[in-house]
Amino acid sequence: MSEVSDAEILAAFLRVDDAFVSGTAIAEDTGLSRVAIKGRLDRLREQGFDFEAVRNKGYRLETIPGYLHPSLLAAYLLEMNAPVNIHYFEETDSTNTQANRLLAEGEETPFVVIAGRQTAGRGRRGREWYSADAGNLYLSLALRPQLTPARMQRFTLWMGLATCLAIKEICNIELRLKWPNDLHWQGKKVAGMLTEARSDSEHLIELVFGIGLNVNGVTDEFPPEVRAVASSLREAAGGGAAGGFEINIIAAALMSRLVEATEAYLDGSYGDIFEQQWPQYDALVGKAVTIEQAEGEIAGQYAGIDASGRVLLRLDSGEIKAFSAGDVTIKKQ
Amino acid sequence: MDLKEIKQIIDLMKRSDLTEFEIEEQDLKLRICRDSKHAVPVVAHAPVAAAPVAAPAPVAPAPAASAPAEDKNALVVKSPMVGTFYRSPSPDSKPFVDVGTAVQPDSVVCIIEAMKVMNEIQSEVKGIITEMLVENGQAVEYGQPLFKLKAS
Repeated sequence: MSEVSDAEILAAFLRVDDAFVSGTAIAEDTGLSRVAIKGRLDRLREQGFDFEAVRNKGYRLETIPGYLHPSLLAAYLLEMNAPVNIHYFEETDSTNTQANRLLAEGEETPFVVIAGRQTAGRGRRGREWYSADAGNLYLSLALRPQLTPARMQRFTLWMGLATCLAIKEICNIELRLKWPNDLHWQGKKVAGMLTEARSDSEHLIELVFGIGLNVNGVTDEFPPEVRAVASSLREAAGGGAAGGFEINIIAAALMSRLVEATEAYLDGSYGDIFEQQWPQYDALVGKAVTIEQAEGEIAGQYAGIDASGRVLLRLDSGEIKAFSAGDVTIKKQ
Repeated sequence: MDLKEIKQIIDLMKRSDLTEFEIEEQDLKLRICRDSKHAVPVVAHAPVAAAPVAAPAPVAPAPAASAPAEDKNALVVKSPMVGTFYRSPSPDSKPFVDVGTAVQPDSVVCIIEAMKVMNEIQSEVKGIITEMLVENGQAVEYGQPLFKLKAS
């Protein structure tokens, strides 16, 4: 497939950082002729790349597109030696919905669906996720885990923490986790996750973990109701990322971390990191909160999480109560 | 007819001995049945006394007393986990199933949310839903019966 080769060609440039690569070297790497390579570079130029060509030196990658590009994303993954089966869409309804469709068609797992934009991005219980900004990430990871539903208890918490740790490593930004797995920057939401599974009475059959991560989104341009509660990595970085982050690097690194994180969850090796790191990133420590349930709101003092990941609230009566679902809101002081 | 009026009918039924109510308007057919003893729904595999079950059988309109023999054919979908029961994919969408819905083993019958994993639960049996045992938004326990079905 030509896309694979484009990724291989681009990987040859990424490997040398900012230096020149000779046409011969790329030809050896990819098995393409030098003429074919020139043709490929011309085509990539039409897609937002630019290459400087100097006689006797070869080519140098000068410009990359400022948006999600499947070949560049795949090139980064090649460079990271992180093979991920990717389904890229410039636009889709929802990456979770698309992943569910691919699962139904029998696509081999694990795989990732990633889209430039979503037209029907969604969150818990049909809530909307603002997905029109192509500077943000929308991706879903699909698995067929061999687990009993009961063993999934801490999955979403762990994936939230794994995302937090990945962002710290990739962007050097410390976000906070709001139970169960919202990622916040100064109280505003930077990422949301939606995990959907199909189960019978004994086993989990299929699992789709979806994440919307505001990377370069300028929240001033978001709809007013979203603007008030949303932030992005670019805003969290302040002046540090004036031009924004390279979304393809972030997508590639996040994908490979998320695939690793699911593996660690399934083999059980995640436990120590989870227990050590969760309190470090927990946004609710020391806070008075309310939790919204179907029956109404319950107020209390946050008292951490229990062994199965449920949120604990100390009620006015002194009783500690555990909740496995509901929206948590931090009370204004 | 709106929700308030339906509630009024239910209240009226509670205060009287009425156990069954049916009304038909242009585009609405409403039927409400309730157990005269005001008992909680009986779990399928507990055929103690031949307690009258509230099951409003949709096809055959004979909901009064279901014989224990019929109960033996009743299938039950149970919750595979602790969580919150939802009848529809989102609050604004139609329920996955209703009394009278024919389901296949791979039909999704509900969502149970557990630790923010939205679990679509499959029926695993072929049949027709005869009774919904849990309310939307209700907390459910592991193994708790969710639906009663009649094999088809």
